Amino acid sequence: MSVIKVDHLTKKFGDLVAVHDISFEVEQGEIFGMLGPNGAGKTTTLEIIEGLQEPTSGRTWVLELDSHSESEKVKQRIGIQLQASAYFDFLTLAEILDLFASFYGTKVDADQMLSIVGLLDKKNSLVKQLSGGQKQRFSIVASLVNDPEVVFLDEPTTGLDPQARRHLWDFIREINAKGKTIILTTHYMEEAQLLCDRVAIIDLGVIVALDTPTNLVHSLKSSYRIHVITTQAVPVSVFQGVQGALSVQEISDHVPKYQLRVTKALESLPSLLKVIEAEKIPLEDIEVLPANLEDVFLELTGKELRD
Amino acid sequence: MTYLKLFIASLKIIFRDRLTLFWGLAFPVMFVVIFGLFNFEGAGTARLAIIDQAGTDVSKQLIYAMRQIKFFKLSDDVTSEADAKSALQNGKIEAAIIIPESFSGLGPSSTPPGTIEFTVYYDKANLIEYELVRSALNQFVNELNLRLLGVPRLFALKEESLEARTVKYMDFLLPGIMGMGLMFNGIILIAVDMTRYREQRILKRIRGTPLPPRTFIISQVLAYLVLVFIQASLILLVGTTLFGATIHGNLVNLYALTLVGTLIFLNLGFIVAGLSRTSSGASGLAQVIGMPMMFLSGTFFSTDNLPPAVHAVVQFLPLTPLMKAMRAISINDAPLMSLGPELFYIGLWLAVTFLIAARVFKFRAD
Repeated sequence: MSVIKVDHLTKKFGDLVAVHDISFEVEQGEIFGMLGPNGAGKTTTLEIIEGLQEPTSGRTWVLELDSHSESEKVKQRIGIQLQASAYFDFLTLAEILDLFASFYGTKVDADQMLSIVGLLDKKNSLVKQLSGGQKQRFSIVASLVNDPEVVFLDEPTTGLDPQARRHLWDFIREINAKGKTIILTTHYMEEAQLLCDRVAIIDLGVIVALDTPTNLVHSLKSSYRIHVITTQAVPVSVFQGVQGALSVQEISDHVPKYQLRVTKALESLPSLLKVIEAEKIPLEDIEVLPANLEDVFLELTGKELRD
Repeated sequence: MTYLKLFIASLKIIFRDRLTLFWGLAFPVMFVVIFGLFNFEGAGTARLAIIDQAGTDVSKQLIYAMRQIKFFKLSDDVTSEADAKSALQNGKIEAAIIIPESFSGLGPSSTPPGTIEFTVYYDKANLIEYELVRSALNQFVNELNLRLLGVPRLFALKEESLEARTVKYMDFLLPGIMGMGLMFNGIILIAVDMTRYREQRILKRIRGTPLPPRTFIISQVLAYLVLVFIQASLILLVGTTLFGATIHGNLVNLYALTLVGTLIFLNLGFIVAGLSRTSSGASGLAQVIGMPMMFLSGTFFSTDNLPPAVHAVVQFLPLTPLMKAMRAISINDAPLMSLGPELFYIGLWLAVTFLIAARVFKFRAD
């Protein structure tokens, strides 16, 4: 059963087309990611599905209910976390959970909910007294007060350090393991790759690719990146002759470093070693890295994911 | 259930925010204290001349009544209108009342030839004294009118209360401060809160739940009414206990007007929130609306002293009829029935601001 259905959705703000005729479905129990740079139209799409914004054209359904004409029923069954925390300054965490539960006509065990995210000792603190990671965890747990079937997370880990991010991923997986479908937006390639079952890559309001992270990477022409690190700078052009090299660029930081994108590492490496020997390149090290969603984004849009 | 939770949460938000407490409670009380310490009645008395051109029983009654008001010191050596004018110019008296000749003895059956006009001369520099003279005179005139309508028992009762009454500036000021306080609470605090909630995406977050926006707004309004109730009580408490002010009228009516008046300014606050994108913008716009009203609508002085052109505009501002009605109750013990025009304007403003607020204020930013 598809939990979310988006059908030919378009959203315009004046002349600006934020979302351009996109369609996709999210299946029951999935963690579905929308990956793209800031301003790609991810949040707009999410908020239209939630019923918070009206589409210019097209329709969206959640749990087979129209998100706009049946928005009251939809809201009862979904949990929403907005980009950046959105809770009252002068209420404690326990009070906010209690209050939001009352909006759904239910009650929650605030202590139990807070202990899931390790915030039990903060139950009498205000949101502004929390760290960035704590705020995000609280904001997600607050979206669960009505025990929703579908959870919408907008940039859940933005601004967090890598460790806090990993913690949050574990927590999101736990929620998912309880049978809740999760749809999230992110501009972190790693997050989409490691957390999501399927990823829609979005750029300029259009879905440029949609598949599992593994399939997306495998669809690439350049499946590997080879980094050549040298002790002295050399002209980039010397690598142009390497067999199977799709692109060559200098990515030096501290030390001279060159990146080759190749289809098959095993074919290109012998050719690369020959070039190094012939050109007497002062080699320091060679790294072979599998391609990731960042490369997918680059290949599909010609742009880097991070600005 | 949801209502109660939201109402309690809104109260907690209000009472945990020191800024709200300062503007909501400390600020108006500060005004009472400052004006109380200044002691505008330090001079003790206002010198008043009454030129009795009628010389009837009723006019003597008026003079007698004025004599009972300790604040006034009647200058008996001023006997003609011309004397009074020069005494006023020389600063020997602060005000003069001319009782016209046409003010003959009035019985329940006699009909006056037309409206009898008292003339009050006053020095513009002594507005407070003038205000008190005016208020006492008004009271007297009202009672006469009542008597003409054939309500003799009522007249007797009223006369007694007039004799006992001393109207102090503090008595005049307290309803003004209450009006000012409720206006600022209404316009500024709610407008800033609502725009801040929108900036912080709290309103959007709430829209993502099944809670009807109406429920949220009503709970907020109720919580602010509690704040205004406490504010009004504090103003009255400080004014009466520390500075000897007296509330002559019906407290229930006074509170009822206070709360109904607050609703007008809460509506205005929602309108401001609807028109502003940021909380600082809302605060600015609210002050632009509130400040002129604070000075013009009669917080500190009666609007009757304003230049006619200004008065013509000011009398239609929402705070003006509200303060007039509050003062009439507080100082003159006026029954609500006698406040028809004021209550009409208050009701009109309430309806109009509500309709505009309902159109202009949106939970969503886009």
